Amino acid sequence: MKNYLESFAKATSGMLSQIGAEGSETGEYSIPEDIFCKHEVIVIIGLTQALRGSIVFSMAPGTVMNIASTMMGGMTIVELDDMARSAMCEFVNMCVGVCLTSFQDLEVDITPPTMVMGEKMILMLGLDKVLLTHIATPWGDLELRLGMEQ
Amino acid sequence: MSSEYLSQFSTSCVEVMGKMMGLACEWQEVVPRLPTITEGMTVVTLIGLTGSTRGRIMMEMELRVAQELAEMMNGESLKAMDPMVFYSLTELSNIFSGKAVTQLNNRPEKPGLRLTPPNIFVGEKIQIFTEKAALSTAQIRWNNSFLYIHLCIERG
Repeated sequence: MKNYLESFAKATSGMLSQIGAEGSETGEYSIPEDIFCKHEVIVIIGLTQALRGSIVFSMAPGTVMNIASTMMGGMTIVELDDMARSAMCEFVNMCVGVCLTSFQDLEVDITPPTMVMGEKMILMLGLDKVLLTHIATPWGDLELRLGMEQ
Repeated sequence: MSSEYLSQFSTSCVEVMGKMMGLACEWQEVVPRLPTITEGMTVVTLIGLTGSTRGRIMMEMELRVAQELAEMMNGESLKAMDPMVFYSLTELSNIFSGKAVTQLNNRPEKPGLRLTPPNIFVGEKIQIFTEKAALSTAQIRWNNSFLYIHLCIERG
């Protein structure tokens, strides 16, 4: 499972570099200690077929606005409107898509990205195994959680 | 198609709740609306859909309703934030979605639908955004309680 999360983190770091966030660093891989979300914004993509589970990206609204702004050619973003949300979802979709192309021997289907925002959020992946890592970017911290069925 | 799928998921949910908890539920399609409708602490279960149709099935309810359903499923009192409440809802959404997808996959057009495992979000002021999706919503009502089923199907 760790190798799958490593691939997602690597693809995300690669995408961040491509859009101009050089020097992102991936942290340790660990089992989440609790179910509380550190960040207010979550983007989730479901996985089916050879891998069954979910990959979840969570981050602060400021990080989303920075990534969305860069995705939109440097456009100033002052709030998380539909366009900014759409840009962020597209970014996550690209990261997951790039990663899945590296799994050449695995046939994996993905759901469209869904963004969830809220306060005091609890996230339960409802799965047997969950692993998380952090990517420190110049725009803030990105948390990646991979939940997979046994 | 979205309406047929919503009907299948809602009917399955009503049947499963009737069999598992003995509840006489009714469902009706309501004006689709995301972000979420319920106020205060909201519980949302989310299951992904892939195959010839891609999207999400979401079940949304107040925390009080989640607790009530979990207590009926387990036959014991539970605290509102007991993880068992959320495990129970995970199971409920998995069962009714699985039943609906089996029936949809048995149709002549064989859509080849697959489900992701369920995820649960709990929080205040939850907003959900799904890009390029057609949304339809059903309300399931029993006694003085209700929950919503939202179906988001990706537009072509």
